[in-house]
Amino acid sequence: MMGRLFPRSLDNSYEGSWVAVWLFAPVLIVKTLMGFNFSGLNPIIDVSEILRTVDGVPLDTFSQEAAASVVDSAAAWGMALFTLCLFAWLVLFRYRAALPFAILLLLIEQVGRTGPDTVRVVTALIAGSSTMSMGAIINLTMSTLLIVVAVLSLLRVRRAGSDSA
Amino acid sequence: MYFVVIALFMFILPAGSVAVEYAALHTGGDLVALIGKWFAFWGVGMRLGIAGLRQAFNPAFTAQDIFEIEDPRVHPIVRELGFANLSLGLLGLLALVPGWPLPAAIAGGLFFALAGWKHVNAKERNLTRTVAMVSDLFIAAVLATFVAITVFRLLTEA
Repeated sequence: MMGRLFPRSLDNSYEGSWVAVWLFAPVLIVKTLMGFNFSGLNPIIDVSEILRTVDGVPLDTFSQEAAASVVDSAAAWGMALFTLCLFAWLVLFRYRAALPFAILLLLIEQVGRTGPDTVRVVTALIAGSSTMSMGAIINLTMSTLLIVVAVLSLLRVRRAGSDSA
Repeated sequence: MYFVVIALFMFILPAGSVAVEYAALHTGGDLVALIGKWFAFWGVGMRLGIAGLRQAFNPAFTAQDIFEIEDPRVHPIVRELGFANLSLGLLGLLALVPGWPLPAAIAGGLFFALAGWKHVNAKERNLTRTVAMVSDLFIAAVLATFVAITVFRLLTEA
């Protein structure tokens, strides 16, 4: 398994399930858009407005320098995510041997970022003390999909060199 | 402290590692490959990996010491940045594995080029931001040169 997670040579020979590829693509599209929008590369998206309205960060109560640092930090996250996604697209089209590793990178980002909140929301949901917000549902879906995709990509369903789906 | 860390991870440690492997260990390795490998490892892997670990698992430190904000509502943003940096850092660390310096350099170089470009376009720049801009653009240029030469060699060998 370690050999498939960290292949010695980067080529297009992929041994995992094709279902993983088809499930990974939509997740990657969503995460690429998230990264692009948050990175500041999209001129029609105002990162500080998203932080204020969606994430509930009270930027107006911070000093000007502190608010700018928080917005820069969010933009740096967007940029890192966008870069990871571009790497994953490159892997998806050209170096599929590294697909399990690319999925692992995005899984670390996704579960690390949303894991604590997801656990809290699901626990509250089970206890019947709250309902899930749309954001929590999207995050839980993406995390679940990425875990499934990671497992499917590590399953050996064909030998390297066999290209049949 | 920040300037020391930047100097260490972006120049001193990678340049030292190249020098040690090239000269002291007499590996006879290709200098371009060594530069790509060590600059990706230290500049992308170690720098982003260590920063990511601190931001992901101790967001209060970055929020209070760097942003000077006590409000814990900022912590998730710092944690988000931390895990993204950690993922990119992991890719950078793999530069030590044969076959991996090129993808690590592509991803890391692109990230630092975008980050540097953001600093260039910033309306105001203090000393810290100027140093960040120069170091980001420097590492991006080194990695881009490595990628360009490696890809050119791959194309001409094919």
